[in-house]
Amino acid sequence: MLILLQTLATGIVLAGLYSLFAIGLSLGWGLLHTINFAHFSFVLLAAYVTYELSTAAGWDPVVTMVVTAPIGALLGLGLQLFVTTFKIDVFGTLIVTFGLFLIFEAAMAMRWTADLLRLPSEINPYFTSAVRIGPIRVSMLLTIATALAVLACVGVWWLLKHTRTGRGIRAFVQEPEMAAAFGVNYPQLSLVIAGIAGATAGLTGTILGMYLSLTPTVVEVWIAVVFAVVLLGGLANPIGVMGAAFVIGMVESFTRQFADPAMARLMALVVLIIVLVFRPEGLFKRLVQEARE
Amino acid sequence: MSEHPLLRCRGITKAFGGLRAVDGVDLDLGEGEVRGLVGPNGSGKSTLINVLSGHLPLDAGEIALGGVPAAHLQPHRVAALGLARTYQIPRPFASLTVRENVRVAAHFGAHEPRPADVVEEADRWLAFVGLAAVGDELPDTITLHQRKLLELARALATRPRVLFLDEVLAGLNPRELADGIALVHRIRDLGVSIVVVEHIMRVILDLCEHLTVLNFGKVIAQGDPQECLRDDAVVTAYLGADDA
Amino acid sequence: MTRRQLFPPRVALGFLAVVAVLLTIPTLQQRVGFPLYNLIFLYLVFFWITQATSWNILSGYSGYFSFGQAAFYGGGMYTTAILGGRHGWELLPTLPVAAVVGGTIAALTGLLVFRLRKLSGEIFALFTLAVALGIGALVNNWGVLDGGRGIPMGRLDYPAWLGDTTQMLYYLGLLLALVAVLVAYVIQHSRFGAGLFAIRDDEKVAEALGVPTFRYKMLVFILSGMLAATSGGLHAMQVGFISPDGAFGLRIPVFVILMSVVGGRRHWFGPLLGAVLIHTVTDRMAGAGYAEANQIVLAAVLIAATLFLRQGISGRLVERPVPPTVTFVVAFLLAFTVGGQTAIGSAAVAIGAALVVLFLPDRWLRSWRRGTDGDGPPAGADDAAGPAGDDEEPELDRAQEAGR
Repeated sequence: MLILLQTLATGIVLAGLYSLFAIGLSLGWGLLHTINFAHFSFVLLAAYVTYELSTAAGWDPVVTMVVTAPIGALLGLGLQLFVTTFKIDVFGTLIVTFGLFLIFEAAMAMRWTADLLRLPSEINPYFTSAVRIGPIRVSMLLTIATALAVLACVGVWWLLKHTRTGRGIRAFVQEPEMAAAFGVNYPQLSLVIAGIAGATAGLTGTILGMYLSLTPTVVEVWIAVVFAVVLLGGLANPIGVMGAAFVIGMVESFTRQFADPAMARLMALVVLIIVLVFRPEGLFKRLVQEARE
Repeated sequence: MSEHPLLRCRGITKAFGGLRAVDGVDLDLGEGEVRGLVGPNGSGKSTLINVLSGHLPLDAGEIALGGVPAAHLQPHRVAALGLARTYQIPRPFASLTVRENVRVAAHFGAHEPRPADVVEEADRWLAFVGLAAVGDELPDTITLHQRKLLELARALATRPRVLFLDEVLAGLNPRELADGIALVHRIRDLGVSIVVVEHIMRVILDLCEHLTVLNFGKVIAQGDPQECLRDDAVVTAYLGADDA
Repeated sequence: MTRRQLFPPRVALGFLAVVAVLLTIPTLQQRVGFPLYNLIFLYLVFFWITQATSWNILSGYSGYFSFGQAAFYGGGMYTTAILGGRHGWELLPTLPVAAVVGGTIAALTGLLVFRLRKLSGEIFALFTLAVALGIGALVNNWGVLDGGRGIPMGRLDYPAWLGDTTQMLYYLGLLLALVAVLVAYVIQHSRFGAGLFAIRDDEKVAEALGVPTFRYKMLVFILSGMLAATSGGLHAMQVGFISPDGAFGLRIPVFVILMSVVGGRRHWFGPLLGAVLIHTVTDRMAGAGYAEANQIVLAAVLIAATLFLRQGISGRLVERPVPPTVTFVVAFLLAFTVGGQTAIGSAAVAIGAALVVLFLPDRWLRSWRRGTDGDGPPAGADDAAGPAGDDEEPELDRAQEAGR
């Protein structure tokens, strides 16, 4: 029974990390028609920034978020400006941002080399310490990630549902011409979304900077599982992202606990493939249905 | 309705959610016949074409083409039986030239009869619709009228027995319209049976021997064009109940 | 019944001449004694031509852009590594098995993904990526296949008449590249190719015209997988030590996409051209110790080609074949003889020069022609190049519209 609860708790915080990672991608794809492969680069760059500020400048790693979130937001804005300037279609963004991903990867390899960089535990107490709820222990770091994820997802959900900006964006995605006629300034609103998506990448980066040993290619293993969450979640549906992350997190946590730990990531991919085959639109509905198929 | 029509449809039904877009439609098309299919917007004409061409799975009903059951077939199998269609908004293959567009159709299409030479076959149909001069152009460099003719050439190159023309004559100027009507006559003279979906009454009366009128997915009148257009239900469907 | 010729004499002679020249190179290398590295370099060119071409018959011709090339490449590589490296099979019998493995992976993936009701290009791309990463994870974690330790190839037996390992790789690599290019050529000029191109432009219309779209997509996917896996199996011999990261990582998809996009996806010649070009540049940059800078440059080229060069270099080359070819030959000979460069170095220089000439604005070239050979062919030839060049912009708009 205890093991079961412990596995559940681990799955939940893992889900938190995944939803934080995926929410920005999901927003960009669903609302801006930008499949941002470079999201992974933004995350890694933020992770390196957290590492640098914590080791060289002596900041508390959690505090570095005040820097990494704006950096991520700026990168997101820049990319969105580029995409609108060149009028790149959905598929084009996938290839172009894939190119950007490779550029970032090489540039980070030049700056930080291929060596493993890990925050020493005396600077990074969050990694080793744990939150206790009765007999159950969960990683302090992942708990922070989960708190951030819930904040981000619920915040975005509220923004889309209940603010003028959100209504404008949704109107535009559904009926672009109608929305424009009613004075929805899509270029401006899209920058807001791109900024938010980028900022979540910055936050994710800070968490990963504390969670992993950094190398320029370390994010590659996250690509599949994060895209799995994005696709399962139903595009641009923050609550769906949390739900999908929950499913994947649980599958991983239970596989790790009761089967082969090495197979945990593989199981997540299997879930993705099964769901895509039987429910290609994802487990959850898109928050905003498109005008055209 | 004859005993053994070329195309025989019985009780065709297709629903989207709760809405029955096509509701128990019977439609026959004889050898060499030209039949008009009319109805107000949203009456189910497009859905019917999509069901008959295999693009949408039908919920109930039977389709037979030349005596062969054609319901629940994939679209390319329907094409192989000899049913071709044009699209209301032309959908040429954008990166292929006009000639290559027609060649694709000549390569595939109906199983019988196979053309001996696809290249010549394609050129023949280009000449037939009058596009020989723009064969090497890309579709987006020719006019909308020419793109509609390309739709026709492509459909003809599939060697159809039954051809659905989805508003190919809409939006043409009077001269082009007269040429278009003459072209449809020439297609009929080849022995192709044709279903014409059209809004322009002049086209319907000029071309069609029989008419099928749809409203809310049901056939409300069938038969001689002049009589159909005088039918009370048809007048009501088009003009609204108050004016009837 | 008139039958159109699949191989017009000019094309057939061209193929034969190129293959004949390439076949003499290993012998020539032994007689004249030029550096062995040239043979290895050419093998790698053959390898990339095979990989890029196999990717392109699926992704370029049918428009289904795959990020999962590594699934087939890695699948083939591991087949040869397990059968040959671990169980002591001879090399040649492992290759057909690799082909079957690649074809099977493609068939299973295709059965899953092409059955989806609404399959968009993005989903296909990410799905194939997930399959490749999934197989990589499986190999990495399952001891029966690998378990993460990697497999040393050791010495595999092969018929002695193929020469030493370098020569054997060269001959077999050439054979595979030839097969791949011929397959791509034949498809492009056949009914099958017409159907695939139609699928790429508008799958629904293609289906309505009678193209059996599902069968064609499956067929080309399986062909592509078989070619890539066979080539991957042979490449295991070149790599020597097989690891899951090397076999299923992002490197292979990155390069095949890059080569085909830059070379041009709508022509059998595109990936070939892209492979020669990109591999030569990469080889020179890596030789000079600029591996990271190379990745940045290549990725920038990928972005630029996606945005501005929809038809790839081959599209441009079809419009303007002569000046760049002449430039290439002249520059190569000059660099090799007068400049004292190595063969590969000269090739790199010549490629650079040819690219510059290829992308000179049409106007410049026209005025240059008028200036030099004013009494040559009159304006007719120029006019042929003019409108074609001007067409580029609407082309781009249309492609974008189609994507929306």
